[in-house]
Amino acid sequence: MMQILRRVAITQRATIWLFFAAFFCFASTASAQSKSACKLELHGTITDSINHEHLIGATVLIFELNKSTSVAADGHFHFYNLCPAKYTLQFSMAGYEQFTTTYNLLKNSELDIHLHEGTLQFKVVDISASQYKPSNTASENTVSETDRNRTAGQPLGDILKTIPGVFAFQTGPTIAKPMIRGMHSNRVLIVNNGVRLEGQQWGSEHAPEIDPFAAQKISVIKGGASLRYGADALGGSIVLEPAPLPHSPGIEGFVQTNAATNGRTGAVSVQLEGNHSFLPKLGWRIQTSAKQGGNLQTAKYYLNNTGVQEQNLSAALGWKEKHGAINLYYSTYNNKIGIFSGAHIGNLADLERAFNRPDTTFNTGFSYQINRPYQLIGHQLLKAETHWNFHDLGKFTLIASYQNDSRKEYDLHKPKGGRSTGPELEFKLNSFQYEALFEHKPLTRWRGQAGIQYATQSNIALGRILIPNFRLYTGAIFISERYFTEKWEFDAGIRADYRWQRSYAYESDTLVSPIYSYQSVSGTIGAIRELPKGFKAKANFNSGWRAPGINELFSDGVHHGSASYEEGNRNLQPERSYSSSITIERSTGRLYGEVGVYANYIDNFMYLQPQYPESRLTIRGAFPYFKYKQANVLFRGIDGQVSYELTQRLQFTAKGSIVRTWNYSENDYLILTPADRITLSSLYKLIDKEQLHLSVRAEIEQVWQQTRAPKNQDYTAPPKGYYLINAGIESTFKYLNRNIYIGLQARNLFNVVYRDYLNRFRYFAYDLGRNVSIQIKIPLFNSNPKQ
Amino acid sequence: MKKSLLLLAATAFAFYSCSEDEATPAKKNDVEVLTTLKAVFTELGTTKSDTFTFRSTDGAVFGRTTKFDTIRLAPLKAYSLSLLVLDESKQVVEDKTPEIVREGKEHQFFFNSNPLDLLLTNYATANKDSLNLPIGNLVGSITTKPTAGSGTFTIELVHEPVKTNSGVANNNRANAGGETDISVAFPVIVK
Repeated sequence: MMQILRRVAITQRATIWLFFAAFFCFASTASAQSKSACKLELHGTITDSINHEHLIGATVLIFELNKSTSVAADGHFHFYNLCPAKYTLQFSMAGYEQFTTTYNLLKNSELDIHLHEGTLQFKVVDISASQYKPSNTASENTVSETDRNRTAGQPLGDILKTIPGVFAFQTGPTIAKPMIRGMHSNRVLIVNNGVRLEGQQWGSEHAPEIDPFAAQKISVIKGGASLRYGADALGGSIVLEPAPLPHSPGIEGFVQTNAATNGRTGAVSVQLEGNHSFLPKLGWRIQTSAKQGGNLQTAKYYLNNTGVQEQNLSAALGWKEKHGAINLYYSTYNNKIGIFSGAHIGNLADLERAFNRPDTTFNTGFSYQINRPYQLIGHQLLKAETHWNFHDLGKFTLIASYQNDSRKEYDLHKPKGGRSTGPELEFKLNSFQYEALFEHKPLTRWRGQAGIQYATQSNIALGRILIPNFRLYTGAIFISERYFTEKWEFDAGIRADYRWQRSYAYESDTLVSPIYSYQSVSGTIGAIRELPKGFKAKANFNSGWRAPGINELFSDGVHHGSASYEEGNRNLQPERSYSSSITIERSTGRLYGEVGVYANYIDNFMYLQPQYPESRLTIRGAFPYFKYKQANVLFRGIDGQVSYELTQRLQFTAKGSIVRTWNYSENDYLILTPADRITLSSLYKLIDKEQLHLSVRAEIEQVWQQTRAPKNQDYTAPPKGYYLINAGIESTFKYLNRNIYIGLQARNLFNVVYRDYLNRFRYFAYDLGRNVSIQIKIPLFNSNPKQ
Repeated sequence: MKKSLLLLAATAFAFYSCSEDEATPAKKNDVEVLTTLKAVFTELGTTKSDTFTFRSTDGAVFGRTTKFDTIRLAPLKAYSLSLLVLDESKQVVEDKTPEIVREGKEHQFFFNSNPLDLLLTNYATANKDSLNLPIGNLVGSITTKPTAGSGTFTIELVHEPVKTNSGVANNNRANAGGETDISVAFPVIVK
């Protein structure tokens, strides 16, 4: 392994293929004498205990692995590549009581499970994570447990980069927004614990207010409107779910840490959960995490003022009754983010000087100190949920939530007069969401649900004027159904939304408060077809719409950092998407993975159009003038991830994405289209025993130059392509009857100098240099304390 | 069943009520805005002075330009220059110049004439901060060219320049770094 890496170091220009060929030769000889134990299969059926009908769509969750599957149209469920171990299996189906059991898997096994309609099991587990999902004919990916372990302590935007087709749109190294298939901000919905995240998503420099440590499962639904969470997810949705609360006696917990050389960053999360025999109906969890980082480093110099400080807490409490449950959840997220001081500019000439200044201008060395400019973010979520099963009807769920989002932005300079104490820019957003859901009792081949939602929001903007205050009311209803045959699965759904927004601002001493209201319908239709040899094909078509956001209507001023004058447009009409995708996936055999192709046409797409050569003259000089306009655009592309197990110890994975955009109204490309990229990695299992797993990994991340950029929209050409070499070694082992994970990762191992097109601070500085990090996850108690 | 309904009802509670009212926004932008730059040229040895103004007040942050004078001066004359920086977005106009002078170490004005000899600035006559480095809101002597001509005269105010960098104390903007607070290129006619 090290030999190989050294060889790459010497001939940095050696091609990717040479590297892989060399690694392949080395690894395959070593693997000849090995046998993997983790090749077991678990199959089974789930039937109604009375009429023995197959419960198609029922879900099975392996708790220890966080792996879930559902009963396919042929009445069976399948798990592959399992290690011999004792697993906790949870079976659930709407209208039935969930059933939990432990199973000692020693050989390939088949299970027959009978679920009772509405009878109480003694240890009933509430699997909210495996709730019926109305539409998954679109491409859905979950961040794997290995990727979660490797990326522990990183912000959400960086964790999601492990999924092909998902990119990080960055404002410097500390702020990363998820971008799905070329779309971001208002077009990407984030659902945290069943609640739509409401922050100031419209801002490209506003990272999601999420502590990824609090989520057990993070998944991405690529492309198209979400029936349940909103028609406006034209790019896709990100869904974060906590683990289900424990409902069998005992206390469990773990501590997870990450320490990284770049920025000398440390993060730690502690989680405890329990259930007690004297109060078996009550389950609880408390989780807290903290993070501190200092100035980050490029390959050549430190980036001044790029530290971060974060403290988060979440708590959940659940009461489980015979036919239902009540759950309460609270979380708080508090973050202070330093903004690279070299990116703060006063006018266009400053920006030009920033391009041309020597690399080391802002190299002030290492410090944990966060000075101006910085952001201070606070986000709180309080949620109450209850669900009840009625035998002859189905399952009813009620959810009410409150979110408070506070964003304070401090500029490089303290204001000289007036607002001397507060931040130069402040937003206070309060959001309430209410939802009633009904999942009907499964009828032979039909599954379905319907829901009604209502939400209110109020925003207060203080300081530097950017967007006005506003008040927002939204309401929606939706219904979706799913139909199964032996080989096919169909789903269809429809959603109607109403939105009423009133903004309040002074214009020349007069209070102006225009009302904007919109209503429209969105829908989705899709099919899944089982193909021979474990392949599965999915097709999805959907149409969604998005009303103009507050910034698109009202922004008026110079955008800090981007040196452009941005002007809203009060005549914008909602945009509408027509999105279709086909996904081929396979989860069995030696070759497995998923590849998706898509085309997303958007009518009246809202974007900032340069008004070149017209500019805006201000006291700071002339600024390029951008105005919100609408156009008909197309996003299309292909992305996927394919793994191949050459031997039981050696595995190759290729992951890539290609996005193409076109603006039909301007006959040009769209700005900030992600460049083509591919990641090739190989994993070699040195030791693969039940008590000890040890593996090494090498990876090449290749990003090409974006050659399809629009004319006259950017200050510099998209940066050159680059490739990074990453490597890792990781182990899971049993110690004191606990499964412990330790990983050591190196990113940008050879400290390559590069800039990334999707980082808005590429004008001012290089991207990050080498980062070596160590991740540890240790259970706090024995893995099997309950009896 | 009764119990279920009771529990259902229990979750339908109101969480919190917001005390601030988004319907009454802050009437005035309470962050300082520089709207106006006035350049007062006084012919040396006289009390004869002319004021030339750039003003943009109308918009939310940086607005539309509402006044943009052309500097008109006589040839072969020496003038002193006094600059005034105002915030005219408030009910009561605020003069920001004293503040700039008080924080003189963090501020510096730069001048650039195009063509070079149109308005010749004797930068050594600029006023100084407590470290004896130029601020430049007052300049003792600016000379117009001997013959008629036209061009531009750019006045820049830089926040946090590195005054000790090469040439910065001698009107070299390029080496000063910092952030540009004001940059106005006045048209000039010397006749």
